[in-house]
Amino acid sequence: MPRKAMEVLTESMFYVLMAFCRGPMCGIDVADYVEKRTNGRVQIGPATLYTILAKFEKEKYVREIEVEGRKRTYCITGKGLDAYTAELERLRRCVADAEDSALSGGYNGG
Amino acid sequence: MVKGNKEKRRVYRLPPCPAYDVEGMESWLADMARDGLLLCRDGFFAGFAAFERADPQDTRGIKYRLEAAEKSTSMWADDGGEPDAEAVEISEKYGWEYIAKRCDFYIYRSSDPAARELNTDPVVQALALNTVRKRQRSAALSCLFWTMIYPIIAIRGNLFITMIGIRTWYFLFGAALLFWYLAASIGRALHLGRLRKKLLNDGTIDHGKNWRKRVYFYHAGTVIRSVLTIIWACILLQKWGISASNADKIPLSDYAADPPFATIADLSPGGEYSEDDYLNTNKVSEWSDWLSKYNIDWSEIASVRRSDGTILSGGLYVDYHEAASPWIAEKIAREYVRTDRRNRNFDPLELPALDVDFAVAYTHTINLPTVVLRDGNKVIHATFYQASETYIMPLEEWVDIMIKSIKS
Repeated sequence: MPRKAMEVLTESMFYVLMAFCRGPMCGIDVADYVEKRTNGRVQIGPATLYTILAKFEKEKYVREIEVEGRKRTYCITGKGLDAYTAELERLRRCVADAEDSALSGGYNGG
Repeated sequence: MVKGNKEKRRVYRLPPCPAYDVEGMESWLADMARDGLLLCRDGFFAGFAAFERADPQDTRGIKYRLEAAEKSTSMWADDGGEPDAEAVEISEKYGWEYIAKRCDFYIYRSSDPAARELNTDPVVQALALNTVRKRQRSAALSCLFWTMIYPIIAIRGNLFITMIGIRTWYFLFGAALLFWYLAASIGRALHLGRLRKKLLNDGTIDHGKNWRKRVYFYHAGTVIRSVLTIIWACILLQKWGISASNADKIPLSDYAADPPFATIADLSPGGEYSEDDYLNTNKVSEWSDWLSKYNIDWSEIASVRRSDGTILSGGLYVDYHEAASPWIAEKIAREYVRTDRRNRNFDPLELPALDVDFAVAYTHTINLPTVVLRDGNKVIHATFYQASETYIMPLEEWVDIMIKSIKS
């Protein structure tokens, strides 16, 4: 059965949840955290970030805890933590499967 | 006051593509910037885009991006349809300035070639587009209801009577416009769906799309549709004015022709006829239509003193049609019956076997005797109420006279 939109977390979504696992943050802080954490490899665009925050809030992965002027601070919810943990576990399995495959047969491309 | 050289003069342009053509809009706005024209803040109004002149040397590297709006952009929305303050702040941090909105999209501008893209995740961008696509789909369904379903409900099944009444050419003109709007609405939703699929498959948007390719087609379509809509609306106002003032009707006393059906005078020939037009309602209108080449709307209140001294008096209201074919005539006849059947106190009356293709009689509303007859392509819907104290003509008698009159 095909997965629904929010069942599959993209890399940007995964890193946003990772940022919130550190603690409550506002949007700009999330983008800065992700860029620093990935050494600039993952740079989240403003529209992408805002869309992710809006979707996560709608899906109750995060909730708004403070509004100060234009700045809104969010924190991760239990549901968000579960989604992050599930995605982390999925990625670990993918890496483990890939490493097992490399150990057992090597790469036969060419 | 002397105008300075640096004063920015506004220039207006018609966008070359619809608002939902994200690629076309981004490409066009970037090309305009290359020519030294910068989109003004809130620069879209009444279909036009307003630009300020700037030095092309300074605007060459400017880029525009459209962002799908997660919520309504209507000016009547709680926040005036503007983007969230947080979204604007985040965008500003990364070198993007919010400029304007057009339909379901916010338009951002950056003069920094190194600014990170507004959208860096095509899946997330597709999610945002999906929200707009669903909104467009709802709008298309709403358009479908108002253009197709509501008119059918409003005319209560009286398609042919309505078409003949307002003129078939005008009805089809309006229907064609409605279909055009409906098709455009569906087209918007489909285009957004295709763009979303493209993002999910390729992960790319063509910011340099050739917007010139269909610009003439788009402009011509927009202008023609707008002009036709205005013409249709003007005709509607004119028709409403004519109907309200009865300008399409003439007094019976000025009517020189001989109607092709029996009037009160014909119901009692040889008698002394007089019009009782104290309410100024004795009027007639005639017109021609594609579906029915000859149509008469007859309203007569009169009396006839018969040879035996009795008086035949009352009101005769006739809708007469010579339809383009017997099939259409049959439809018209049945629509009249269906319309009157919805009136209160509808009560069918017995009629003897008659030498016509269709005959139904009944009373309705305030006990108004009415008959609907069809003979070939001729249809009569006649109501004859009688107010005389000395003589009431039986239904069968005046119906028989009516039938003979339309057969002659």
